[in-house]
Amino acid sequence: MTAPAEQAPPGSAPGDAARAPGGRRRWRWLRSYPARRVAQAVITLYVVATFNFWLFRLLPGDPARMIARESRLSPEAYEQLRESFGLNEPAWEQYLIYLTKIYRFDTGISFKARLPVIDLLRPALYNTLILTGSALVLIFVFGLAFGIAAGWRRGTRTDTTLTLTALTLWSLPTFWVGLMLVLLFSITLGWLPVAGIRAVAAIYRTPFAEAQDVIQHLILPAATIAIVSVGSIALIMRNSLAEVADEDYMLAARARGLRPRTILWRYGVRNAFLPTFTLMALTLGLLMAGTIQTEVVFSWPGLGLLMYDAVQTRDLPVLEASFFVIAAIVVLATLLADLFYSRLDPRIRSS
Amino acid sequence: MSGKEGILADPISRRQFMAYTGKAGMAAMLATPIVTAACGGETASGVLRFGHLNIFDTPNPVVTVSSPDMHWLVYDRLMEFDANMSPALSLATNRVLSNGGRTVTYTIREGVEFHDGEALTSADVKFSFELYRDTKKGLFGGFFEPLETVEAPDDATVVLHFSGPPALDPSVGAPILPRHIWQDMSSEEIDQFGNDEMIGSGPFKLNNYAPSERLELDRNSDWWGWSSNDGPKQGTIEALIKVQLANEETVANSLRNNEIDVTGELASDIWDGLVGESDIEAVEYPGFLLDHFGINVYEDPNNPGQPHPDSGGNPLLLDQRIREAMSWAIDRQRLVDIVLGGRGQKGTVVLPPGMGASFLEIPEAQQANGNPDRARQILDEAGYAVGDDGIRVSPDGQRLSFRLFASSVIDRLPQYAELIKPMLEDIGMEIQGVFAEDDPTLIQRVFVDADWDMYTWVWQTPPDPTFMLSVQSCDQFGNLSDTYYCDAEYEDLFKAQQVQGDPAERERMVHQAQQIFYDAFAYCVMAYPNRLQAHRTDNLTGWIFINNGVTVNWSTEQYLVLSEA
Repeated sequence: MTAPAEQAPPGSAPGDAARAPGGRRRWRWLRSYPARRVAQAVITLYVVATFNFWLFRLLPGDPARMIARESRLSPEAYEQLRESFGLNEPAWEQYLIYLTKIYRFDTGISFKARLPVIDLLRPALYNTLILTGSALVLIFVFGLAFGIAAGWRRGTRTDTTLTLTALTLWSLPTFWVGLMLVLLFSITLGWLPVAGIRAVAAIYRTPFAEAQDVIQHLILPAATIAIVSVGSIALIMRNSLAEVADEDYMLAARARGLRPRTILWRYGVRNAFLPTFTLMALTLGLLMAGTIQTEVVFSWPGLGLLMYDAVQTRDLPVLEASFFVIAAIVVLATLLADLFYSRLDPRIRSS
Repeated sequence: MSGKEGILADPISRRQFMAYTGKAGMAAMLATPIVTAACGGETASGVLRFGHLNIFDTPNPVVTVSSPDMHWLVYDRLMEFDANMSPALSLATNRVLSNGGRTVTYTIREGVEFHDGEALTSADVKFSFELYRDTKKGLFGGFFEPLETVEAPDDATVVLHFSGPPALDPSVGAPILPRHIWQDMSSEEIDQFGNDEMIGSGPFKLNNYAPSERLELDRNSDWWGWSSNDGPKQGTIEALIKVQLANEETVANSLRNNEIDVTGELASDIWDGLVGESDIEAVEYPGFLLDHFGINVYEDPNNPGQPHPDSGGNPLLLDQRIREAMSWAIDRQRLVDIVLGGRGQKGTVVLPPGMGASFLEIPEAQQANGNPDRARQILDEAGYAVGDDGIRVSPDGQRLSFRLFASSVIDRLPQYAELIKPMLEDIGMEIQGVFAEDDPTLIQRVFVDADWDMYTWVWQTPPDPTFMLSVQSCDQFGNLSDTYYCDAEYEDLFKAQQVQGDPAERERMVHQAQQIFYDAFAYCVMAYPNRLQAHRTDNLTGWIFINNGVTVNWSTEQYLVLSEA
């Protein structure tokens, strides 16, 4: 690692700073674990962005043709449309423009709605985060509870029942669970709404009333995601807790006459939690990418639904931006998990 | 395992665990109705809530290619389609034809204002029509082709000069734009204009548009039509909210659960489920829909009988006898019964029967339909003998093997394809597929690359014959044509009917064009589906019968006559 010339003190030759003991120390952080991980994340994002660009252009179907679909568009008007959206430039030029736009956080104009993509993306991302965030809380609360209960009572009927339940839930198709919940709680019992994020034509006298309405709409989609995802967390927690239970320090703790509850929480769960923690970060990423089915079943106006719509119309700016945002969230979540993990377990930093 | 239990005593006994779980479950069960009851929620009355699979594309009326009804609620037009789908005066109070129908003079209402308070005058009409004519960008632009010049001699008069008497006056479609907002925009700026304020002069104003989620329109109490001298609109609804729902099942469930008042078009099985439900009326109307399979007949104009160099289709399909045999092989009643659940009519010509007098009725005895023996006879006579493997071959040894594609976007299109495949195999053809592809892929394949043999598709037509007849025009190669059919006689009739002012003569031309295209067998029109919708009866009253559905793309009448129940 050499320092850039402009960082050198006045009067010194280029490269001096790097050789000076102080300079070496100054730039040492670049080799540190966090710096390396951040650099990896940036490279990953660049690769994802590039991949997105070419992937969507490989999709069959001309976006301008989709826009022109229903109308009797003249060839001149069609050409004008391609020109307006920069589709006539050579691919590499479009690619450079695209990268520049990412750098400037400029998401462009939606081919379909003709509105800035950011205006479509922002509320959709917000809605998806509400949904995945709520689901994540449910998944971890119930997943950890089931995992701890099963792992601690390994080999008993409780364990068998919970493990079987976890495996069953894990293998249920998301859309089917969603439809069943709608049938039961919305159509048969009439307790909860079928679709959307707010009641159509709702009047909110207080912000609290609006929050209540959103929560009401949130319950079924969040429960759907939680039901099909809770199994993986429960199983990982169960297995790592069961492994930890065999460790000598657990036996020692028991021999010291500690209360079983203390042994479970202070020695068992704390040590068994590390692999589960990694899975948490990955789950967040998977949830972000996997909400499409749930959002479609419940017409939840999030990123998944936006992408579903954009694929149908080959709305490239919307597709590129939403895929990039999802990738960025996954990369960021993994990065944070890694950095946090390295704090929890110092062995990671030195390896 | 039980040994482990011996080392580590349970922190929680099984009984305790079961008790905790039971309590948590009870709490959850109790909480759900409490949450529900606590926020049964207050909803505004007098609001039409419309659940649809696709609410809108863009608030920009110059570039829009869908949902003219929403634009027509925000913008005024000189003319409109009434509940009978006939053109009627709207913003215009008088319409005079002169110069053999080539010149149309409109008198427009005075004192009309845009939603931002600016006056609407003939200058705005002139500006809008010239913009549509010159840019030809969206749905409305295409109708302005025969328009030559527009004059605005005074604030209340607009004079349109056409190259010939227009069959369909574009004034029935084109929204009148406020010149003061649009006048300084370049063509490229218009392409990228979101128009998120949507300033028009129509009966509703834009309140909120969240793409892919909802469109909220509020009543414009100042609109002239609510108190018009020549028959005010009686509706009293305060707002219209159109929400996008991702699938028809959700639309139907939302209606059941009183979350919406009216559905968009539904598939017959989902619609059947709504029949007889309390407070719901499921309605069936003749539609402007046409389900067909299109055959690639792209011929080289320099070498008649030979495929065009750009065509990827099987050249055997250029033989009209093969196409005629296909038509005879298809049992259309079976398709209607199975795919549409009986809710539709057998297909024949290229215009749907909802079109009324323009529709050419082909007598039952003359319909090439549901007679495989006749199909085999035609192929035998044409020299396509059955080969060893049961597939017919041409005299020069080419197998009658064709690729069948279907749009995967509308469920019934692959269903048709799966049913027609065995019908065609039964007369000795090999059918490859069904290849279901999404619309962008299929559009590229058919309309741009011409690389297909047969594909199933649906057209939804405006209530005027010109659009549907234009699809088969030679000018539409690479654009709308989904057969690459080109016939000089058809072309002449199509063009002549567009400027034929005499309705009876125009009808004759339209009928003749349909007959020519029917006899060419480039289309196999399988069925005309009925329009199936449903609406609630407990919130709003005043539902009226309109051809093509209770809420339709081509008339805004329903929205203007609904009132709170």
